[in-house]
Amino acid sequence: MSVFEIRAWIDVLAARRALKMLAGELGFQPRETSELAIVASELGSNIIKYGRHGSLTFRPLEARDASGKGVSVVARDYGPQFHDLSTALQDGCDDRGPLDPMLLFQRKGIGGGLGAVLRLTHSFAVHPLADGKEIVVERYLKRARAAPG
Amino acid sequence: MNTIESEQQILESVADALLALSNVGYGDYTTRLELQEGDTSPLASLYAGINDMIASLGAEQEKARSYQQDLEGKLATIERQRIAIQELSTPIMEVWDGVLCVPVVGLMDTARSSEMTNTLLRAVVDKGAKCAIIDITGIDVMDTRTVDHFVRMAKAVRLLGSECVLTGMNPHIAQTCVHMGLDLSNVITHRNLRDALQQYVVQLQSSD
Repeated sequence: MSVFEIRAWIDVLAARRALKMLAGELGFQPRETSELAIVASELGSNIIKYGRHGSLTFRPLEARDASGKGVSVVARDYGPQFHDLSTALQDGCDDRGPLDPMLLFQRKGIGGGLGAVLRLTHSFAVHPLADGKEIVVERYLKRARAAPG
Repeated sequence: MNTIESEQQILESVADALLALSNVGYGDYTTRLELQEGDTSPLASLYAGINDMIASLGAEQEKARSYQQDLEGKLATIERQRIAIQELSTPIMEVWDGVLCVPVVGLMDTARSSEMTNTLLRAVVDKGAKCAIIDITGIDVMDTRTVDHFVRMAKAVRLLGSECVLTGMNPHIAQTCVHMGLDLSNVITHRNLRDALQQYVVQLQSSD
């Protein structure tokens, strides 16, 4: 298990490199390790953009069924709760609805981060905590995903 | 008898001093020679001198170690920043009059694709580019939303009166584009950067 404190962009870079390496060691294909790096990158940049500070934790998962081994990523932040999670997961939106193009420009995002995380992982859960929240995602070695990309 | 005894004492004292010095040689700066209170013999002043020397050597050594730690920390920071610059920056080169080239390597996430759009659109206007070639050979994976954003970026470049060319797309990303049913009518694609450069440079040369 490895924990990365996230306070600045540079921390996200270190974390996503570590996850890519861990995924490679677990037997994920190079493309899949890149996908996991994107997951870490999106979750990490959300911590900085919305949650101010927090941490990313990576843990290898033992094989329990035909899905084989996997990896879990926990993104913990000390920011506000999601106003509306189902909206936040939609592309081009944050947790309150569609983002104004001008706002997107200023914030240097396209509102697609959480959607990408959802698409690139097998399970996705949000746990509200007293002083923030935790997003827990898992990806397995041998489980297929619905669509490419 | 008396002289033999004092000679023995002197030998023991010298042995103590040598032992302390050899400890210093092995990097132990904590040894001190024992001094008798009020002893003013030459041996005592020698002992005091050796003690002072060991103390100041130890202090210097400590300083050097902290400098080294400092330096190592700074080097690690520079290395992290170097990687960060490499992973985040989007260099835009004007490879020919009016031809911009954007080689993208590393990881493409939503934050970077949005950053890139801003930089590229500004460069197209500033340089009055006729053509912007974006080479994504170095990108193995893009999320569907990011691919979609790329196509929008290409359309925006087109709106500014410039051609947008995508090169080096890998089969996986191509599949994603098709799967999403993206409208690629505004985007010109080439197999690789070389083909695109050849075509546009020749085209611009003949139109001059």
